[in-house]
Amino acid sequence: MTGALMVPKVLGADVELGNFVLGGPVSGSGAEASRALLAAFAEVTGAVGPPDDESATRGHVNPQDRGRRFLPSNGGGAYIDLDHLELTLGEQPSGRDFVAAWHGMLALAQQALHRANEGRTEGRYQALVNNSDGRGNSYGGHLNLLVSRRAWTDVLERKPHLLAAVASYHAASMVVTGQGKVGSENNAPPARFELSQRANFTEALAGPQTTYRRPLCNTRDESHSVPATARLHVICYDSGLAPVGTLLKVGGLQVLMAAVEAGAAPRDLALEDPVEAVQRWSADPLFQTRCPLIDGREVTAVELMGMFGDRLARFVDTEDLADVVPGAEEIMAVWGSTIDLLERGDWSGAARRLDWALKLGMIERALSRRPELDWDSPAVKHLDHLYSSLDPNDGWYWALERAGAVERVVSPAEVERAAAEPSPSTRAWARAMLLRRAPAGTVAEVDWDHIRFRLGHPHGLGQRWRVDLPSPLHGTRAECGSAVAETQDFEELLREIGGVVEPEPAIRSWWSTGQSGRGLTWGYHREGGEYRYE
Amino acid sequence: MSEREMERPAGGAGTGTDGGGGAALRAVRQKADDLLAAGDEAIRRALSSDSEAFLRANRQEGGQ
Repeated sequence: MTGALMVPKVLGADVELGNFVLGGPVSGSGAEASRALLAAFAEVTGAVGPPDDESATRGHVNPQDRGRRFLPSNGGGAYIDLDHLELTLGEQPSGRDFVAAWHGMLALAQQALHRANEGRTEGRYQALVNNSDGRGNSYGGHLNLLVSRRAWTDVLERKPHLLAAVASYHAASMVVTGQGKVGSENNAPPARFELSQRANFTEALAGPQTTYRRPLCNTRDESHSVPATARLHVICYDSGLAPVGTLLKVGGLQVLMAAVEAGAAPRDLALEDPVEAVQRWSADPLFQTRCPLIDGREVTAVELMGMFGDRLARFVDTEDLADVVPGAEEIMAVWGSTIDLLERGDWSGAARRLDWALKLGMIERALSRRPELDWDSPAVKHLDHLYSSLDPNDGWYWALERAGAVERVVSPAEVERAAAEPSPSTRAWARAMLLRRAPAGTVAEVDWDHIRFRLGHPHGLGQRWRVDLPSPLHGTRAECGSAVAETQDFEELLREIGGVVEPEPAIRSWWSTGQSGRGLTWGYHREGGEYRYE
Repeated sequence: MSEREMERPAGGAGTGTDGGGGAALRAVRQKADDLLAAGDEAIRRALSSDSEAFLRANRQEGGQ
């Protein structure tokens, strides 16, 4: 045991889908599709949010976000980001939970797509779980990981050797995280098949930006958590469908960052140029391309991922990670056996686990059976896109999954439960329960770390209530279960779990000008941009 | 240095040289045949629709 502070590696995700109208006017198609899909999503899930698109106008929320809605079922949500339907997962404690929650959310999105297309006579909405349109436009499948503030600062602000190691890990991990795509884009050299959809758009080592010159290591610092912790926001991975690839994507990152916190990061496994390695490795699905480490060794992506795996497996063997990375031993076992498959060139084994291998195998099969096709044929790019179509009728990932060609991590029953219920071990539980119990029309604002309600009052004056959920690790069923079970009245529940009555915004505005005194604002003071109750 | 790092030969990429790469691609076709047969109907449907219209419609507005 190192005795170092290791934070439970709670996981989340915010994933933009490709969406458009097939068979209708091309112009404005994404805007129309994303709005129709969000409306249908709210309809089929009962997702709630503030009225009048208030979430788009609040000062602290990115104005490109619209219509944010949260789910009373599982505590996740959805909104529109730059004309994409964006799915957000409620906080998950483990890789297995993440896989179940991700596929559960996709199942809900499939219902929304079906609902949106009901009754349409001309054209239909299409949604793709991918990261590029093949025309130079990319959209993200971002991961979020709870880490200690110290680890976040060390990697992203203070210790270049840790930044290099984490960036190098991200680069090599495309062998398990890549969805694969036909052709290159964004001025990358021509390629028939890229391992990673995002690689052509990964152009910098580190930075806060997410829409241009995207970095391997994103430095956006929005913790949605308490000061001792931070959110690592990872934007360089692909959206994936294969459960094993998804488990390795999130579980591998959990273990790596636990090692960083414990002072056991493989700091010497650093590439000379991680950004260049991303470009070169992605264009070589046969793993012949070698890139230099800073110590002069030259490695393939699979080799480097294997090296990380060996080092981190020893870390897992020597640390008690039960509360930090649940299932770490399973993750490392699957990691090792998957790298073995790739090293042996066993693509049929890899195809059961990894999106890119499954996609490449199927496209190779189509090419071998249809000699009139080649890699530049529109039909082949069409096939590439349809791999990730959300629609189970034309998305061929789903056909292969139904046929048992894809290795599962969780059962269909676990996926169904994750769609309908929040994790009991994170604040997603309290969020979901509050949204379930809130009287209709009273939800005024929902964000990851707080919820506001506007409740009626018998004398005609509404009351604004605020419940803070400052840590992803609190608001669990163990903490809030009795309050939820034993209260009948919603206001009583709010009181029981620490909700407070807030002053009206106009009064808060007056208060924030530095006026002193009490009056209607008794009990509040402003601290660090937040109102606190005493 | 781990066992994997010590054991790995200097030129030991699993799929070999250009010629080996061709063999690996043939292996993709051969080994994965049964596994991938399940997707044939989905592929057939995709290839029987208008790919160029699909690609024209699928123009996204950028993103994060």
